[in-house]
Parts: sequence; structure tokens; C-alpha cells
Amino acid sequence: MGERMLTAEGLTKEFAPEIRVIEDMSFSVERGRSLTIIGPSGCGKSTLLYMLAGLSRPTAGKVLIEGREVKGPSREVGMILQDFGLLPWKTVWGNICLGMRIRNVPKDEQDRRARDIIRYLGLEGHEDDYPSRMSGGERQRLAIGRALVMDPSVLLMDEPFSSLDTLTRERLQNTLLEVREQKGLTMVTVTHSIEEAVFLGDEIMVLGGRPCGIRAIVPNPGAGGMGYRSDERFFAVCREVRRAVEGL
Amino acid sequence: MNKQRLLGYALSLATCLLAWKVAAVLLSSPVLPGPEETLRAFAAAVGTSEFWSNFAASTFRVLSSIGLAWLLAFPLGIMIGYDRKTDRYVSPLIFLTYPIPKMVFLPVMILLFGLGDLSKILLITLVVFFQILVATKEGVSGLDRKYIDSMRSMGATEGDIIREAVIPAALPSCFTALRIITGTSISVLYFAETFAGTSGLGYMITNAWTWGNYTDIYVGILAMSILGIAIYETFTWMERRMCRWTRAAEDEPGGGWSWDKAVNYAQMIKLSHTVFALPFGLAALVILSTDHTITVEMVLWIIVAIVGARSAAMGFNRIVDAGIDSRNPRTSGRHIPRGTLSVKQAWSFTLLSAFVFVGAAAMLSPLCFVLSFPVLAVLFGYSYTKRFTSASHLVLGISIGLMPLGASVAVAGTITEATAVLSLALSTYIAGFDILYACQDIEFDRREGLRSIPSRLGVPAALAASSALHVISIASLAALYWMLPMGPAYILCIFLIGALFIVEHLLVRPSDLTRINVAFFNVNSIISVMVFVSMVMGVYLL
Ligand SMILES: Nc1ncnc2c1ncn2[C@@H]1O[C@H](COP(=O)(O)OP(=O)(O)OP(=O)(O)O)[C@@H](O)[C@H]1O
Ligand SMILES: [Mg+2]
Repeated sequence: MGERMLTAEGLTKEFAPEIRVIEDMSFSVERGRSLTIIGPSGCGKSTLLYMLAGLSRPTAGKVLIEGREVKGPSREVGMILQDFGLLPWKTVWGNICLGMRIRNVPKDEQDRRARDIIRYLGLEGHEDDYPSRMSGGERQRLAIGRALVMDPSVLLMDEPFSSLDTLTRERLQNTLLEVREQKGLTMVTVTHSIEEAVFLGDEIMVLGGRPCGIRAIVPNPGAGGMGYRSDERFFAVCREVRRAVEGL
Repeated sequence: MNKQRLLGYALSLATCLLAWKVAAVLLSSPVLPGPEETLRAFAAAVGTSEFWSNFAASTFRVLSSIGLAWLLAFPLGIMIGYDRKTDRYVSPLIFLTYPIPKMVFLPVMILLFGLGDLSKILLITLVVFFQILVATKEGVSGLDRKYIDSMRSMGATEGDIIREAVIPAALPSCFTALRIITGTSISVLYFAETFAGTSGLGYMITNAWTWGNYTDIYVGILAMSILGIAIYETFTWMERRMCRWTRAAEDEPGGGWSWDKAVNYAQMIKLSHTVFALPFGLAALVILSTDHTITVEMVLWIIVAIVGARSAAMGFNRIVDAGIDSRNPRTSGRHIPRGTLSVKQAWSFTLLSAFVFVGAAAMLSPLCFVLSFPVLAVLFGYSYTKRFTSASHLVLGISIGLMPLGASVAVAGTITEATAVLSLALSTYIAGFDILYACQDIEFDRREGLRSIPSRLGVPAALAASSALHVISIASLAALYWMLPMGPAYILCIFLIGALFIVEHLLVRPSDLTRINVAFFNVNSIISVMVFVSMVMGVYLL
């Protein structure tokens, strides 16, 4: 532990010379730890995540994964987009196998890994369903499965649970904690919900301003257990994050 | 093809044939032969090699044109839809040439490529190319960025993205375009074939036109329509295979055609009852055969008309009474209240049946066609009568009693005395047992404010009324013995039918109505068959 898995150094993004969205952001996440990012809508959270995933190049600064500079999408990083980006013309099975096909994983290994992940996420019996036929929670699990099946060491998620009801949402948050524990995943999660940020993050990064910068990084040492939601410390951190968000 | 589409096709086919027949009857000119004449000519043409060589020539031209246009337009559409740079350079060119009517290039095509297949194929290709191109481009432009981003985050190359995301996204709109251009391409084909060349269906039509051979024109039109429908349906089928996901969102369970559904329809209209009513219609034919000639065709259309009318009436009745039926414990198992058939399906069924009836009437004679509408009005009107008069049983009797009268008009052009008496027998027979039926629903009818003899007069009086009606019925049947040259066997049959009526009434007692269903089903079927048998015996066994 203590090893830096993901590092951002002086990240800046401009879409046009006069439109600067993100300015000089530096932070790092240690291996196996979880960072949650919270901030007002339109401040640049998705833009930041795109740069971390190597989907867009920073105007200045750089992203490092295990000390190597990110120049494009990599095997190490799995990403779950806002609204998932599940292909509507592919079945559950087709969506799960998509990444492995792109990476030329041998067919029998594809089958084995897809079966494992489908069982793990409780999607058995849905293999031949299309995403449009599934419930929000099932779609979400499929999106998680599609990222996890590639066995990444870093998982980036953009508002993964925003469209779900509280119960489903909390169940999936628990699932996520479990997966992280088992696989030693490093996670970065963007969210709109203070409770979710505090439940999932070992640290909570509050963004704000125009151009967007880091306003606060709130430590959250109690996170990681399923029972944390009713812990006194949970509420204390929630209050602290709320103050930071409202202070923007 | 699912049931909805099949029903749609059947309905529109029936409408077309009906309109066609009516127009042919009204016009009564060789320019517009009737559908049956055309079908006969078509059947004859199908046996000739000349027809098939024309059909094959046209099919080859249309299919090669569509194939060629697709091969050129689909990849180009994908490219300009996906790649902004190509789009910037190619699109202005396309949209500049898009509005130019391509048909006018036919002379140029002929000058360049001669009178053979090539010029025709290229002309059609030119016309439909743009439609496929534009539709494909639209499909790709509608592709959400997030699909591409999510694939790129997995390390997808441009090739992966085009194969796994761009092409599937373009398919549905491409298929829509292909189905639309099916019609267009056949029109252009016709134009090209009439203009130049000596083969193809278009040539066949023009040729028939030149020689004043009107029926052959319609044979050609029919062949072209069949070609169009076949291509169209092939595209629909391909889309269903290749774009399963577009249906995943809308498919509801039980949407397809199945044996169960067929059974549901048959039960909804009590097909068995139709079969039991049919003998009366046939009995009328037996009577009429004593002094009129009856062709096989007449018998066929009369049966079609009876089944159509009966189905339409029952279907309509179930729709109108769906609310009432669902509240009545005896009928709540019927198909609409139970939800196994939707009201929309029942409507399509009823409409289709009505079309079949009117069409069959038109095939019989213009007078039958005209009269079929008031008949439908009576059949449909019956469904409302029990809301305001307890004479509804009689209206039902008259509705069904119209059957021998219709047969008489069809065969003799008028209502003969004997069929009128048979009609009276049938009407009173039906009205009588409808009263017995209604005895089961007294409680319910009174609660719902529905009118019926039993609910108004009580069960004993209702049974008496029913008996009286059945006495009239048997008396009318007996009267036929003196009106027609009948043999003694007929009297024997009448006694038998009388005995069956007595059995029926003995089965039903005011204190015990439970046997009505069994009594009805068995005895009624025997009675109606007996009526037919007695006519045959009476008329032919002198
Ligand atoms: N390709 C682009 N070109 C120009 N401006 C862009 C582009 N992408 C994003 N932006 C702008 O950058 C800003 C940040 O966008 P971003 O999607 O990162 O916000 P967000 O914090 O994720 O918002 P939300 O919480 O609503 O998802 C917005 O003002 C947006 O309009
Ligand atoms: Mg966002």
C-alpha cells in the first residue's frame, strides 16, 4: 500500500483557447483506494474522467498510471460512462464480450470469463436479452460487468447510480464495495450524491469554480464497511462535505 | 409475418377486391374486368413460359438495381455519416444532385448503354441510390457519442467501432429506405420497360394495352404487385433477423400468431354455432333447387357470405357487450372480458368478416351487394336491442332468419314464398331458444337493467313463450309440405323434429335450468341438421 496508482499532475483542459474548463488539477489515488468526486453540474467532472481514461488529451499537465504517462485508453483502466454506453444492438452476452473481442481474447476464455461475471452479478437468464428490455438496476450491473470482465486495476465511473431508486442504489453500492475488496480495485467515482460520495470514497474531492479546480479534499477514514451508512462518523463526514459543497 | 400483419394484408386485400368488384360491376366495361375474371386469366398466364420469362426479366432488373445501389450507397453513407471530413466534401455534392429528377436520364442511359438490361438497371440504381445513401447517413448521424466513447475506452480501433457500432446503428434506417424504394424501383422499372425493350412485365402490360387485351393488363399489374410485395416482405424479414434489438423494446408476449389465438377467434364467434346455423341456409338452397339452377360457385359464395355475416355479427356483439359480459359470471370467461383477445383484434376480425360478407354478396349479384348493407345494419343493430326492448329475442331470430332470404335473392333474384316460410321457421326457432338461454341470466339482466322476456315475465311465462314460438316453427316447416312437391319422407322428418323440440322443452324446467347448455348443444345441432336432411329427403326422395 501507499503506492501511487493514479496521479494527475497540473491537469488543464481547454476546448477552445478562451474556454478553459479545468485548471491545474493535481491529485493522486493509492492502489486499492477509492476516490469520489463531487461538484455542481457542468463543472467539468466528466471532462476530468475522460482525461483520466485517456479518451481525451489534456491541454496541459499529465495523467500517470503506475508512474507511466497515459497517452490513450489502456487495458489497466475500465470505464463506466454516464448512461453506460451499452450497445442497444447487442445482447447482454454481446455487451459483456465486446471488450474481450476488441482485445482479441481467445473465444473459450471469453466464454469462461463472461459466464463467471454474469453469475457473479446475478444476470443469469438474461444472456440473450437486449439492454432496452432490462431494468435500470440490471443495466447498471451489466455496465459494471462489462468493465470488470476486462480485469482492470483502475475503475472509473461517471455517476453510475444516478438513475436508480434508493434501495437498488444501495444494493449496488454494496456490490461495488465487495468487488473492490476482492479485486483490490482502485476506484474513481463521480457522483452528485453526498451520501454516495461518503459511502464509497476513502477521500472525497470537491470540485467547483470556473474554470474548475479542486476546492477541498475531505478524508474519510471510516469508509469501506457495509454498516458505515448508520455510523456516526458517516454523518459527520457528510456534514463536512455538505459545508464544502455549499461554500462554493 | 405476425398475425397483425397477416390480418392487415387480408383486410386490405378484401377491401381491394371488394372495391374492384364494385367498380367492375358499376362500370361494366371491358376496360375493367372483375377480380375473378382477372384471377382466372392470371392462373392461365402462370402456366405459360412467356409469363415467367417476363417475370424473371423484371425480377432480375429490380434486384440487381437495388443490390448495386445498396453496394454503392451503404458504405458511402456510413463514411459520410461517421467521418466529418468526408461529409464536408461529399455532402454538398449529394444534396445538390439529390433534387434532380433522375428519370429524365432514361434517353441518355439508352444512348450510352443500349436497349438491354444495363440501361434499365442503371436508371433504377441512379434513382434509389440517393435514398439509401441519405437514410444510411441519417442513421449513422443519430449514433450517440457515448457508444463510441465507451468502445474507445475499451481500446477499440476505428474498424471495431464501424463494425460493432456504426453499421448496426445504420441498419434500421437503411432497411426502412430499402422498403420504401421497393415501390419506387418497380415504378421506374415499369417506366423503363414500357419505353424500351421487348421483355419484362412492363413490356407485357404495354403490349396488352396496344392490342386492347384488357384482362392481360391486369394480369401484368397483378404480377408487378406480387413482385413488389415479395421484395418488400423479404426486406421486412431480413430486418427482423438482423435488427432484433429494435423489436426487443416493443415486443409484447403473445403478439404472434398461434394456434391458441386461432382457437380463441373461433370460440369468440362460436364457430360451432355457425356450423349449426348453416344447414338452414343449405336447406333454402335445396328448396330453391326445385325450380332454379344452382351452380357450385353460387353455393360456395353463399357459404362464404353466411360464415362472414355470422362471424361479423358475433364479433360485433362481443365487442358491444364486452362490459356486460365481464360482469356476468356466466359469460365473464368470454375472450374479450378475459383479455385473451384485445378489443382491437376483435374489431379487426369483425371488420374483416364484414368485408368478406359484402364481398361474397358482390360476387353473387349486384342486388345482393346492395342488400348486404341493410343486412349488416340489422345484424349489428341486434346487439343493442336488449338494452331497450324485451323483443330482442325476436330481433335475433329475424337476423338469423335473413339467411334463407339472402340465399333466395342470390339464386332467384327475389324472395320466394317457400323460403319466406323457411325463414319464419328459422326465426321462431332461434327466438324460442334464445328465450331459454335468457332464463339463465334473469338475475343478472334485472340488475343491469337489460330487457328480456324471462326478466320481464318470469321463467314459467318465458318457457311458455318459447314453446309457442317453437310451435310456430314446426308448423311453418310442416306447411312447406303443401307448398312444395315433397315426398312423404318429409312428414316423417317433421315428426322427428317436433319430437326433438318436445325433448328440448322437457329438459328445461323452471326449477332446473342447469341442463340448458347440454340440451342446447346436442338437441339444437340435431334439429338444424334434421331440417336440412328433411328438405333433401322431401325434395329428392319423392
Ligand atoms: N467537446 C466539448 N466542447 C466544448 N465544450 C465542452 C465539450 N465537452 C464539455 N464541454 C463543456 O465543459 C463543461 C463541463 O462539462 P462536463 O460534461 O465535464 O460537466 P459535468 O461536471 O460532467 O456535468 P454533469 O454533472 O451534468 O455531468 C460544460 O460547460 C460543457 O459544456
Ligand atoms: Mg458529466
